Amino acid sequence: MSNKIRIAFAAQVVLMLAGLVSPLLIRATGTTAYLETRPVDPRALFRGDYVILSYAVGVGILGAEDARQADERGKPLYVTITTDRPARFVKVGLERPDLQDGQTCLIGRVRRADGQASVDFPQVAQYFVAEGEGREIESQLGEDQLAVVKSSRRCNAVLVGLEPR
Amino acid sequence: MRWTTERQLKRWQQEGLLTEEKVAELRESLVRGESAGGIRIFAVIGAVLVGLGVILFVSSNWAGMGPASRISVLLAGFAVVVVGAVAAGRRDQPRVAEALWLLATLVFGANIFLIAQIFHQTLTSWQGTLRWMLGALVLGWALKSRLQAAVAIPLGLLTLGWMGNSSWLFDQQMEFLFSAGGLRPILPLIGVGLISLSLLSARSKNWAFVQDSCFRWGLLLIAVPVVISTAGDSVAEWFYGIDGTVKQFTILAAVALLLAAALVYGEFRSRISRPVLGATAAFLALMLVPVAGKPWVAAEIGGLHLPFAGYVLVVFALALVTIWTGVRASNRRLLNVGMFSSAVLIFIQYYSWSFAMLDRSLAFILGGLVLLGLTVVLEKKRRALLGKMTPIEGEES
Repeated sequence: MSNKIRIAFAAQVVLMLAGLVSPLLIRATGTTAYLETRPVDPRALFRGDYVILSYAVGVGILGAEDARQADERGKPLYVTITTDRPARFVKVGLERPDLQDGQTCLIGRVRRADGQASVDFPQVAQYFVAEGEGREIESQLGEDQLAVVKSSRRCNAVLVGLEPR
Repeated sequence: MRWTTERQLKRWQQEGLLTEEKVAELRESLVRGESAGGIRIFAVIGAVLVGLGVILFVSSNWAGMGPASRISVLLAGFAVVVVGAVAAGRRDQPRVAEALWLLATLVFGANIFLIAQIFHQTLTSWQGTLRWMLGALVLGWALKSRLQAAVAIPLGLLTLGWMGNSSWLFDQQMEFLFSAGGLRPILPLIGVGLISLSLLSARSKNWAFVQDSCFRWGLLLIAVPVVISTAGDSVAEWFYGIDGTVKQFTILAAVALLLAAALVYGEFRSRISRPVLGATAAFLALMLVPVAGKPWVAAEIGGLHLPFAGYVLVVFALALVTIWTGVRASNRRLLNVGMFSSAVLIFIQYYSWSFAMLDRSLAFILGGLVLLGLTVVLEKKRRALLGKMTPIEGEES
């Protein structure tokens, strides 16, 4: 094996494992939040072996001006929530928030459906499950099912799992 | 192809340019070349099938494993493929080794996304495709492999498309190709950027392996959307409608830099290639300039779509210039793309006019005859033009 191939192999391993750094760091040091999930339409949203998660905390919180600015500037939204079980909405804005005790934040995007703007959280929107378990989990989604999320101070989040309320 | 080669060999023998032995030698060499190509195709298809199977098997059967076990399985699978590729190379099996290195890059990419899956991260992450592309490029650099470049270019396009994109649902993964704020209106200019990269990479021994893939993808990104946009003024208006996002301007700035570098330092095989590339880029950039909030191609003058008619004429002229450049630069790809684009343009215009002026059945019959006639004429012209060329392996215009 030539030196160049050794370098390429090492680079590929490093690039592959680089994906571990951020989620492991957030899981180890992030703040835990419990988000109420919402039932989804399985005909439209279930795809393969993962479940699309939608969160109650993202509904009805977005003003028209914030939605317009986020759309026009293509910027993410920062949603501040409490660390209560389940989490409660605190505020939403286009700038990263200064967090108080008992608060954490998530990065969101504007989502428009039926003329209404709500906030989705792409970083914690896909829950991967074993083959065939998706529909059962989907049918359980709702206010009795909480998503456990770890979030960093920069609002980057990792989905840890789902658990009953 | 075999028929024309055979005929050409006989003609050269009759003209005394080749001896009988030389003809036999060349014929054998052609047969050897074809079988090697066949082996490569089979090896690559085999590698892709194995890669897909492994990905599906692993992702469907690891529900009971913890994160550490899953990562170990992924790394072990990758290592096995790499060891296989190295072993095939040492045993003088270059085609198999090449296919296994391709498989290694496919497994490498799958592992990036399977690791992300362990942490329930989105599958449309541009960071994932970026890392995959970098891995393919590094391996391509080490092996001087065009196959690795062929994987890297579409990954680069996916990275650009997904970067800053809010779409994460499965059915919106390709939204960037169709939205005004995505890559849609700037796809032809990205094609110009790739061709520029191809011309620049031809100057470097280390990066020459990306030359061919960049050139092919560049041509494709220019020809397909531009030809389709001649289907009607509303199609052109939709296609060139641009939101003008930061991402789009950043990409356009990068394309401008690459183009400028290529025009100064690029390796052109014909003197006309340089101005043709510059003019094509200027024309495509002009299409993005809006007038009263809409692409100028959608404007009406005296109730007529004159700008659109002018646009179609310029695109047709561009297709003809591409053929001419292909002949001058001895570049088969340019010639083929130019001829195919011209034929499709003629056909699109035929249907646009005939449906309005003729009975539908007559339009279909005449359309079929036009298409058959075009095929005969184009094939004859193409052969005649190819005969004038002196192709040089691995070089582009």
